[in-house]
Amino acid sequence: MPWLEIDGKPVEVPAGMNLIEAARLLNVEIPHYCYHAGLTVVGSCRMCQVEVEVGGRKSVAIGCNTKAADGMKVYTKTEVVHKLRQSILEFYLQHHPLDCPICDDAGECDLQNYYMEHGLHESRVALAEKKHKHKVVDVGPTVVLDSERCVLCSRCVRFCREITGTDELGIFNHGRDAELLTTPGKRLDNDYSGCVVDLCPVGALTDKDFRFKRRVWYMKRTASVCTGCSRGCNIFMDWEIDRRYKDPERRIQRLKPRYNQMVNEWWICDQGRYSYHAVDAANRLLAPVTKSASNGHAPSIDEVIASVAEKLQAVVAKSGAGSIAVLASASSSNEDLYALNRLFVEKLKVQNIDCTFGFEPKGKEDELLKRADLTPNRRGALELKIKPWGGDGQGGDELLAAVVEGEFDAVIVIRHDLSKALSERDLAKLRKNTGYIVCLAEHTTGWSDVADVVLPLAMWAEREATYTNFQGRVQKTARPFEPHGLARAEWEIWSKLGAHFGVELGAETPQALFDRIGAHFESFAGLSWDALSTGGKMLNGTPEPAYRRVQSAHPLPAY
Amino acid sequence: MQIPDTLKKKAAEIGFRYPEDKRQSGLIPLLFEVQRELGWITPEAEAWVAETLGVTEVKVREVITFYSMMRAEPSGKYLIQVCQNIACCLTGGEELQHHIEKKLGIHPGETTKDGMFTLKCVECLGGCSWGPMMLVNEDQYFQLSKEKVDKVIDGLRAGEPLVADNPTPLLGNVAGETVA
Repeated sequence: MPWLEIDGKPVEVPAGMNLIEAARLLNVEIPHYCYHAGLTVVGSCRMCQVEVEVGGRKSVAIGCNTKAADGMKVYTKTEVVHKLRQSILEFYLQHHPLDCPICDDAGECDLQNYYMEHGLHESRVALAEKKHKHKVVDVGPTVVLDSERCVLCSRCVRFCREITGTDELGIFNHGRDAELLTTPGKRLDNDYSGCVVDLCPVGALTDKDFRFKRRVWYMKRTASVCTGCSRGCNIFMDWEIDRRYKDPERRIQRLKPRYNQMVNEWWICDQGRYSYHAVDAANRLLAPVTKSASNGHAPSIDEVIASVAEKLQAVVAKSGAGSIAVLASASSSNEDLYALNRLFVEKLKVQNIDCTFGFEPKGKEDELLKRADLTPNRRGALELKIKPWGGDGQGGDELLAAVVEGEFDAVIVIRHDLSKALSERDLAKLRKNTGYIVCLAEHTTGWSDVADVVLPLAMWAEREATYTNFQGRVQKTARPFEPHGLARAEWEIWSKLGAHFGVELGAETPQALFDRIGAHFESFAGLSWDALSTGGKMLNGTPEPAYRRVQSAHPLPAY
Repeated sequence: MQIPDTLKKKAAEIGFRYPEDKRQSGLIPLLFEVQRELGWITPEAEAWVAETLGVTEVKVREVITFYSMMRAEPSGKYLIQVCQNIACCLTGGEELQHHIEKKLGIHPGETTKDGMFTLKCVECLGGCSWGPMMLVNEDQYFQLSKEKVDKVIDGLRAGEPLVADNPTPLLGNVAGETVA
């Protein structure tokens, strides 16, 4: 492993590491546009130039394409380097419009940021002489291109070529006429197209969903995990709730990928990226709903839970625990499922419980990130013994069939939309045959025809929770704000309901609950909330998956 | 639009020049063949080239738009490209360009009404020591004067073009062929 010196500080780096990455080990930022650790190196922007001294000879080199070598001395802050950066920025701004006041990327634009630090400041370029190119080009369903702002770093081109293999973008013409565009008649329309916006170091590619919604400096950022499928991609939630006069129903402003080498590297799919709309959707269920007359009084959660407990106690007293069925969900968190298990399986001895159903929607699976299983916690549910009914295999459908046939007096439906799962006839049959139906839902759809009681659930962004992805990695979500209305985390509902049955979870926070899971279930042994950190931890006894570079199976030649 | 058989045959010939895994090396030669055959590179031909060589349409488009000798739009029977690089300009290239504009009654980028000539100004045609120069389709004419330009254009109109000054065959030499 080579030892080198960067700005006078010695550092040992892995063989083959380039100077940008080597400098990062010392928290030294070498400015760059075209270099991205997940893409091939092209060395086209020339912004990362540094002075390099080898064998007593000093020269200028680009940081991205120069490998760290033993005895090398690198200087990133000399007068020569400063002049180089200043000149490169001046060159870029010859044709880059000064759009900052209206550019969506202001505040997180590398051109803007670097210019503040290294720029010439007193421009020698007359505005009128600037080259004009296409503005507001609708290149695809999620992305808008402003080719005037493009610095031709080709990161987006390389992403579509090397990562998705779809190759929609290209740099056409040459010299000062060179311009980023799609081929005529083609659109930037792949499952990961939003990633080019993350990659764009300037405001050339912007997200239709986010454009002009918020200035980035108003937003706060919370590290979390996408719950859109069983991959569990690491994300940042960018949110803002202080300026409610602007789009008051929108608390999360956007999701961005968060680097995790073992899960999703730098990328997330579009489906996950735009999934946050469900959190602040107009059809969120904000209060419990009961079919019994309320005399104009809006019942509280506690009142409704008390009535559910009363009813379930009556059912158990009359027909035993075998007359209760629980249609559980693999979308529930580990804590939810642990609490559910404690109450229904351990205390009430309910055996008719499952979380695997044929009616659950399946997603498109690919070789990059997307998984067909759209539930974030299937592995966790299985580890926590929310077993397929009747042993292994697809028992859920048989359980549901038994439910429809009226084999149970009480049914608890968690996060499932039975109106989509069953035909109208079966739904009516279920309603007729079952005495008492409790639904737990996040949105106001799917339960109205069947449920006696509906309890509102908090969504992933409104609660702290852990999920176990398909590989067995346990990761946690964060909660930047409170749930909408009277919505509660699922485990809180089980905790309150359990109190009526004399079940104490022994923990009143998701952190404490998770730590208790480790004490009860061997596969979670040794894991603790704090140890999960921001990257998650593998289940006990589950080997870390091999390091995966996210590349398409048939990558095109490097750009 | 149907791709002519002659072009398909040419594509096969070009394919033989390169190893199987490096067939995209034939991109530029094949695009020139298309241009010779069709006058310009039509969108259909562009897609056909991509498919034939197993490269993406974006890649083909990048190459076509990068090189000024590639034509992605229809042009006149004769494409006149006048060099605007410093060596040619110092020897009167700019004046020649104005002379051609006046003679043909068109500006750079335009085609004469009879469809005979399209005028283009390009950065460098690689004949710096013999400037000023211009390229008419694939023929180079060096050390131009107004009179020589008139002879070239009038000759083309009359169907008796002035013999070009090409020092070597510009295009079309295949691998293994000795260039005189």
